[in-house]
Amino acid sequence: MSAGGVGARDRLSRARRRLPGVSPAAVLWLTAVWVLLWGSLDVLNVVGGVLVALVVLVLFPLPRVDLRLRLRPLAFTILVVRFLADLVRASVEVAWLAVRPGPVSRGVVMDLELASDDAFLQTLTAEMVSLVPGSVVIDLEPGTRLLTLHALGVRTRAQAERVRHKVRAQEARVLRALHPDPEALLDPRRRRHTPGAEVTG
Amino acid sequence: MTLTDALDVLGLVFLLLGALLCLAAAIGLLRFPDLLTRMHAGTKPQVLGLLLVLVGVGLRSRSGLDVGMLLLIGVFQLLTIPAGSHMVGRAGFRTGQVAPTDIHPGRRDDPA
Repeated sequence: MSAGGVGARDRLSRARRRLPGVSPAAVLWLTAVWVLLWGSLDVLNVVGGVLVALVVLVLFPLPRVDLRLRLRPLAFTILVVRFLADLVRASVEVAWLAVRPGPVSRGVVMDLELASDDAFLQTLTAEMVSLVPGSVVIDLEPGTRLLTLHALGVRTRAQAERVRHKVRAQEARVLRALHPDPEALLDPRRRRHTPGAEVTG
Repeated sequence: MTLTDALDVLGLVFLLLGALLCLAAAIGLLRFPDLLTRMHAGTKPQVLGLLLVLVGVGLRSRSGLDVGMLLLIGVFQLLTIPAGSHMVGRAGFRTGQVAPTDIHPGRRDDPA
């Protein structure tokens, strides 16, 4: 029994070395997607799903993402609930701006600097910012952490400041939900390297 | 009125609301003046409209795997729509189709 287990593990690790991009979780997820797309759970779909998942993962290997995340359930719930509420509010607002009589509104292009260096968290923030009120992401440069976005209905600097504040709050919610040490980035006294901070006056 | 009827009516309400939001998104695409404002119409009411339609269909179908498929559509919609609008917006921005940055609110620690 134990010898068989060791043998199986050995074979598994050898297969791993030969197929570095194929992770069991990815196979499971792609198989689940395949079965859901066919809409019925039977042997043929599951076997076909596993085969398709393996072919996809071997032919289109993804770059390895180094995820150093810590999920905090409470903060994550806040993030999701707040996001859904924001999504509804944004949709109703933009829908009203589209159909209301009178002149249509314009917006401005603005940019701001994100707090996080992590590409995954930056992406998540940018995706969410695109779906919440007032902003659509245009560009994100991971190196400089500069997020360029378009703000709808903004005319004055104070309004732009408000949009910037909202985006920061969105990023803070993402960081509090998933970053291992959010306060290191969010607490101004603990931020380690702040480009531009030494430039005063 | 049985539970099934109630779910049917609720599903219809969701379908109607979703369709109205998609209509508003389409009107926005026509009425908004430039590329970037149109991206607002194309992302927000459109996404929520589709999600509401999916919820409506789910309430009326109630088979586990069908609901799974609807969930899948919703998740991929939320993942791909911002990325798509981002690509369109960036292409317009980098090729000079839209106005350059009007407001630079400055760096995080900029006191001004």
